[in-house]
Amino acid sequence: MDHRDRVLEIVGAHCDLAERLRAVPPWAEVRGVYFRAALDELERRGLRRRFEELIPDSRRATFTLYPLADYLPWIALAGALVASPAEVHAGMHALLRDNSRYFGQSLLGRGLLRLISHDPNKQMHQAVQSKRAVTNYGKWTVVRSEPGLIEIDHEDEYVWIESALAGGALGGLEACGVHPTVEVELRDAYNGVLRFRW
Amino acid sequence: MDKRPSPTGVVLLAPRDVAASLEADPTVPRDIGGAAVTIIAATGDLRDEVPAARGGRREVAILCVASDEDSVLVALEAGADEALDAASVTPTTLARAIRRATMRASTRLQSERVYGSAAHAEKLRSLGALVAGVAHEVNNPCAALLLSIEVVRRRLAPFFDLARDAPSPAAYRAGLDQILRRAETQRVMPDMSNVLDDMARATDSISSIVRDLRIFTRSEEIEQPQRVDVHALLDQVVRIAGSRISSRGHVERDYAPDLPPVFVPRSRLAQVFTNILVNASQAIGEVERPVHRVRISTRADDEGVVISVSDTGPGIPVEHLDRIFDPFFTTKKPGEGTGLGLALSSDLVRRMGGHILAQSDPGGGATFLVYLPAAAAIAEEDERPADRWVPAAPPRRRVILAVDDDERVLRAYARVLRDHYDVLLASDGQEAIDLLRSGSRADAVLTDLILPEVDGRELIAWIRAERPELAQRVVVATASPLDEAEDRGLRSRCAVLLEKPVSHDVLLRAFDRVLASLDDGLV
Repeated sequence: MDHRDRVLEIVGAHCDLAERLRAVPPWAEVRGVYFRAALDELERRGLRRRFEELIPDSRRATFTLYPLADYLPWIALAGALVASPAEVHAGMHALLRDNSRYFGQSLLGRGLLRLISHDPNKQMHQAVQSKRAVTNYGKWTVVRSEPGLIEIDHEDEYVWIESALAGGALGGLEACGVHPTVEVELRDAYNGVLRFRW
Repeated sequence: MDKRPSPTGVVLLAPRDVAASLEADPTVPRDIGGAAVTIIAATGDLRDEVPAARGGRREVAILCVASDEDSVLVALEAGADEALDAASVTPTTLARAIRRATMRASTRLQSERVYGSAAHAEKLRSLGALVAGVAHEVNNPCAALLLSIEVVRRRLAPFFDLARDAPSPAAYRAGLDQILRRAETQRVMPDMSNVLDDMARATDSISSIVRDLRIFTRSEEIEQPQRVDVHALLDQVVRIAGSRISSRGHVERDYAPDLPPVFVPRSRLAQVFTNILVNASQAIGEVERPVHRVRISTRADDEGVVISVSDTGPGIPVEHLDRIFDPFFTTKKPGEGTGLGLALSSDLVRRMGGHILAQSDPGGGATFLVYLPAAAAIAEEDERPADRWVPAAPPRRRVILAVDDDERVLRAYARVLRDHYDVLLASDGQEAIDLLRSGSRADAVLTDLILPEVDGRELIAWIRAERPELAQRVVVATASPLDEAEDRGLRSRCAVLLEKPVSHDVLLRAFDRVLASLDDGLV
């Protein structure tokens, strides 16, 4: 049994991981910094050992591209450990919400320091732009940006928009000192809008 | 027209049992048009086996017989010229597959040859772009040298005249005494000594420029990876390419302490840095700003090294970001660029096992980020046998982090300080904190008090809490009136308190004093 099957056994009943793994194009990839960020958060919460019992080969290089089909079970398992298998979405949300801290300290984040802003709108524009640098699939677009509001559209995004990505964006905004509310409008599982107001 | 290159050999990589049966099969060809067919048994992961079978020999065709359809894709992705499923191997399919592998290898070799020519043309173009800067760098010491030679010639003229015209040895000795007495009265000798020192310095400058230029002279065929000190290489490239930037802006060297070396072909990496810096120098020429900055940052972790180059040009339109590493993509005017510089840089960095990324703040500037794996310890040992002479690293310059929200003031600080120190610039306290937090080295800080977001007082408080060793080397330059208590309080929290406007000499004296403790090894 490979690690995808093990993760499916744990969270398969509580999220659509199996459908997503079937939908993900085989060429879709994501840089190791995403994997490492999740691992760092698990370490901080004392959950890394448990994670590595289920996914033993956890070494990922920051800049290398890895299959998205490996990343999805990675964060699903991490989310299940952070909350519980039944609350896997809440777990992924919490996990990615804390990831902006790791990103700032990572080699990638430190290399892009000049572009990291403390203005929430600018910060989100940069995050949207960095999508193409850290993945090779899908598209994010800022569709509205004004003081106290930003709206981001996601196309062909296989990571859970409503939980994981909403958490990641919230964490980025909170790092700028604002505390937004989130509205999610999904067109389908892989396309939709996140709207943040503060 | 050149004949299309043919592969010099064919490697047939197959699972152990298939390899054994192919070895024993007399129908398997052993030679294709003079190229020997070698059968190798694959024992592990094809991702490793295919590159190992190639062993760096680009001119060899690789045909992989894989155990299943999925492995066929893996083999092709790993660089095989052709692959087929073991289940479909017959004498006919194998012969056709070998033919396809040699044809594809031939096409690959042809395109590599064309790309190599284009790469060479691009290298010449980027060197051409540097010529004006190099000419300026060489001409200045040359002018000093010529003037000094003229001074020496005039000083020595009486000796030459005497040697030529003296009627007798006695007259020569008397004349010599007279010249030497006059020289002593007019203090000619100390002056001559200074002139010769100047000449030596000018010659050193020229030879160091020539030495820097040699990093571009190696051809890829003969250059092997070696242990490279990234900071030393960046300094060399900045000396060559930096004059284009210095005329328009300020180069910030934001170097991380103790950066590990990388193991790469040195001149190839120099070419990458040159391409990026030439682009940055062109970008900052496209928009007017009180002070343009090109910041070269280096950072490292346990995996590798990141070198990022940020400019304050117009940035790259988002719609171009996906294409800027494509060959022949350019937004420059005809004649200004081939569109190969970044494509080549990307290719070179990939061959070094690294990655290159571009990010942009449209209207605010672009950042190019080069990641390279750190040199493995074994490679370092190979490169540094015990008896090899390794030049001592040049003494590092002190770094001053200057913080002010007025870009004209930052520009003035950079101009005054850069002859003596490396200068990092930050527009507010938050940017200064972000820099220090990210690993920037600063030996002293120069800050205003009134700043947007995080002001000077908050910055000083942060430094005292988070970087206490730096707290005693903070210089405050302020135009704000301070009452007696404020003045006293501030003086207790910084090393020097200066009132704006600050003169050139006062500023330099302040840092002389503040940094003396470091130079004495007291801190």
